[in-house]
Amino acid sequence: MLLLLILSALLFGLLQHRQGSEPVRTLDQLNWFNNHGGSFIIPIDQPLSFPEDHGEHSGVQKELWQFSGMLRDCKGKNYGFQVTFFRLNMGNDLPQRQSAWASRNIYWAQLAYAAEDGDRLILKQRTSRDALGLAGYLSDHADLQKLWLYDWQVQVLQTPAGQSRFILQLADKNDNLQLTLQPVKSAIEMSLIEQMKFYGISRLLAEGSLQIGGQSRTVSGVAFFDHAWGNLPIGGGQLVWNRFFLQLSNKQELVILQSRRRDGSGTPVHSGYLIDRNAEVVELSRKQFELKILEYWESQKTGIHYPLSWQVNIPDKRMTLIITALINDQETNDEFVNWSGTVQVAGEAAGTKVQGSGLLQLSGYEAVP
Amino acid sequence: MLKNYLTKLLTKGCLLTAFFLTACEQTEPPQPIRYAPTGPVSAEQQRPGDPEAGYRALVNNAYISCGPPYTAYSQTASVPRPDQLLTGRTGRNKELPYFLNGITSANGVELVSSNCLYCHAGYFDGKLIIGLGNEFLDFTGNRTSRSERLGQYVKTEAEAQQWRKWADRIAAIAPYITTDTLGINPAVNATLALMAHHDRETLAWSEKPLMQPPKEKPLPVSVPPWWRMKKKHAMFYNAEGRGDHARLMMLASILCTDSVAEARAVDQWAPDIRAYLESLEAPDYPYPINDQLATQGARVFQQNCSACQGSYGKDAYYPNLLIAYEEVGTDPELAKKAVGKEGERYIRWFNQSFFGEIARAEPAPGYIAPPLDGVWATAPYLHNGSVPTIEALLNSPARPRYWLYPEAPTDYDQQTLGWHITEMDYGKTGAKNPKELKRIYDTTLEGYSNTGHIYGDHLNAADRAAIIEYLKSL
Repeated sequence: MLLLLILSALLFGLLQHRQGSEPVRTLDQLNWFNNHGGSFIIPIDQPLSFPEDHGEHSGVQKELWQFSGMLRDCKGKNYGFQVTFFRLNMGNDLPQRQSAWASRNIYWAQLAYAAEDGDRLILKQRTSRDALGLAGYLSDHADLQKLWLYDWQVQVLQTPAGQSRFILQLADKNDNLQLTLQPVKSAIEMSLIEQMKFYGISRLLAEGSLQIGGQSRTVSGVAFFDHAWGNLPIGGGQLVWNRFFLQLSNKQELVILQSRRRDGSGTPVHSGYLIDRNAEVVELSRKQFELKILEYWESQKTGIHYPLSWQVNIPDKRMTLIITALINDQETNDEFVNWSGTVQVAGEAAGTKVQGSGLLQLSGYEAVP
Repeated sequence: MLKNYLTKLLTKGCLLTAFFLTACEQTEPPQPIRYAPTGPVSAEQQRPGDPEAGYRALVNNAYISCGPPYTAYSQTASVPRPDQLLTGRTGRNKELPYFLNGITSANGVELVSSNCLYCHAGYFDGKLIIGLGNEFLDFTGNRTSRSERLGQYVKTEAEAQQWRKWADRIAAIAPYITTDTLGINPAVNATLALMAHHDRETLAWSEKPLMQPPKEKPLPVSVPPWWRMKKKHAMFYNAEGRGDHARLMMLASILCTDSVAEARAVDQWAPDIRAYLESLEAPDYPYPINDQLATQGARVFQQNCSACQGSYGKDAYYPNLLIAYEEVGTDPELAKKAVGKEGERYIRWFNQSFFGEIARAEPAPGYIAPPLDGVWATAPYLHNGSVPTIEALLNSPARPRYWLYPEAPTDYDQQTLGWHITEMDYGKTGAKNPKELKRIYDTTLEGYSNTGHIYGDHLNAADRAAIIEYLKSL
C-alpha cells in the first residue's frame, strides 16, 4: 500500500510538473526508491547476447536506452537529437495483482532536438506506468521487441541476416521524429560496476523524417546507441561527469568518460575507447590521452558554467580534436540539471583532417556562488 | 569486463611487506643500516596470543580503518556466493565476502574495508583455503578510476568524507601497485609508497610524500602461504622481517592508520592474529597419492633437498636457512633492492617508527629457503612466481621462457603440480591484444627471471616424479 501511495505521489508530481505547478521533484523520489525500494535482480555476469539484451531486463532496478546523433536534411541543415527511455522497477517483491491497474514499472521518455540555427534545445517528455497498456515492453518473438510509452515507441527488428535494426517513432503535437537506425558496428561493453551492465553501439546509420512545428523534412545521419541496466546511479553523487560519444568522418568513434570530484579535491580520472573503421576497439588508458577545456558557457537559467569547447589529444594515434557545441543552450534543467547535447568535431587523425559530430553529456555541475 | 569492480579496490590487507631505501632527508646523522647475514636465521621471542580471538579479529576488526561507505558498496558489488561467506563473523560481516570487513568510522559511517584475506585466501579444488596466497589477483589496471567513480553512489557529507579519505589513499598508491602481469602482487611496493606518505614518528598522513616514493613499477612477487609462518624465524622472502612478527604484520594497516594511538589500539590484538596464523596447517592434498612412489620420493628428497628445505614427518626439522642470491641464482632484484641504496630510507623509516619499537627491518642479500608444507597448492613457484610447476622447478631447462598466466585456479595438473599454462613463443612485445599482454609472463623482464634453483637438474625423470609424488604428501 505504501508503495502504491508513493507511486501515486510520483505520478501526481510529474503530472503537476507537466501542468506547470510546483513539481514534487522526480530526483528526490527516484532517490527514495533507490534507498527504500524492494528487491531487485542484479545483472548476471555473462557475455552480452543480442538481440535479447537490446530489450528489457525486467527484474533489475533501473534501465536506460539512449539514442543520439546528428541528422542532416536535404538542404544541408544539421539537427542534433536524443531519444531516451528510462524504466524504474518499483520492486520485485510487490504483491502479484491481477488488476489491469497494477503497476511494477514507471517509464519516462524524452525527445530532445536542436537545430544548428536554433537558440535552444527543444524537450518533450512523457511519464507513465506499465498499467492499462500505457507503457511497457513486449517481445512477441525473437524478431521483434517493442518498448513504448503512450504512442512513443522503439522497436528492435531482426533482419533476415540476423542483424538488429531500430525503429524510433516519437510524435508530440506538431513535432515528430521517425527514424530507422541500422548498426554499422557491433556493441561494445563498457560496464563500470558489478551491479550494472552497459554497452554501446558506436555507429548506426539513421534515415527518416523530422517534423518540427508541423514542417517535416527527410533526414539522414549517424547515431550512437547506449543501453544500461542494473543499479544505475541517480544523480552524480559526489562526481561531476563529462561524457563524450564522438563519431568521426574517418569512420572512427571515440568514447571518453571523465569524472572529477564536485568539491574539487582529488584527481580527475578518465577512460576511453577508440573504435576504428574495422570495429576494433582500443581501450585507452588515462595516460594515453588528455582533455583540455577551451571555453565555458554560462546558463542564464541556472547560472552554471558548462565547458562547451574542448580539445582532445591522443598522441599515440596522432589525433587532435576540437569539440564545440552545435548550439550553446542544450541544458535540461527540470528534474536532472545537466547539459546533454550535440557537438561538432574538427581536427586531425593520423595526419588527415577529420570532422564529426557526437553527444556531450555534462552532469553534476553546480552554479558558482 | 571491469569485473569485481569494488572489491578489487580494497586491496591493502596483504601482509607481504618489505622495507628498503635511503635517508637523505634526515637532519640527524643517519644511523648505520644493519643488514642480516646469510645462513641460519635465529628464532626470536614472540608475544603470546589467542588463536581463536585472532581469527575473530582477522575477519571482523578494523585493522584497515578506511574504506568506501557500505551504502555505496552495497549498490555496486555483487551479492557474495555462499562459498565466499565465513563462519565466526559478527554483524554486517556475516553478509560480506571473506575478503571484506564491515567497520564503523569515527563519524559513525558504516564502511567496508579490505582485510588480509584479499591476498591471503585462495581457492584450490573449488574450496576456499584461508592462508593460501591468492595468485590470481589482477592488479594490471589503475585502481583510481574505480575508487573515484564509486563517488557517484555516495550521498551524505559524512559518507563523502570517508569516501574521500579512502579514495585519496588509493590514488596515492595507485601508480605503485599497477602491475603489468596478472597474478603479480604489488603489496611490497604499496607498503613502501604508504611509508613515504606517513610521518614516521607520528604516522600522520601527508598528501605529498615525505620522502622519495619507490619506483612505480612493482617487482613481481608471489603470495606465500600463511601456514609457513609457524616455522619461519623471519618474515618475507628475504627474511627482512625480524623481531615481533605481529608488529611486522600490522604494517598493512598504514593504508588508513594515521596516528600512533590508532596503531597501538590494533597492536593490542595483533598478537592474537599472529597466533591464529601460526595455528594454520597446510591442507591435505585432495587427489590420490601413489604411496609407494611417494616413499621413494621421500628418500630422494632427503638426499637432495632437505638440507635447505627441511625434513617432514616424524623427525621434522626446518633449518631457517637464508641463501645468498648469488648462490641460489633465482632472480636477485627483490633482494638486491632491499640491501641497496634504494632500500635504506625505508629501513630507517620502519626501524625508527612505532613499528620498529619491537620489530626490525633487517634484509639480507639472499632468500630464505621456505618450508614446503602444502607446496603443491602454491603454484606458480619461486618468490616471483616465474616457474609455473614443480616439475619445471626441478628441471630448469624445461622452464618456459614465455607463458600465458591462467586466469583462475580451475585447471590443476596433478602430474606437474601446477596450473595448466600455455607456453608462448613470444613475450610481451609480441602480445596481440591487451588481454594477452597482461597474461603473458615474460621471464626476460627485470625481476621476472626464472633462473636459479637448479638443484633438481641432475636428477633423472623417475627421481623427479618421485619427489613430486612425495611433495603431494606434505
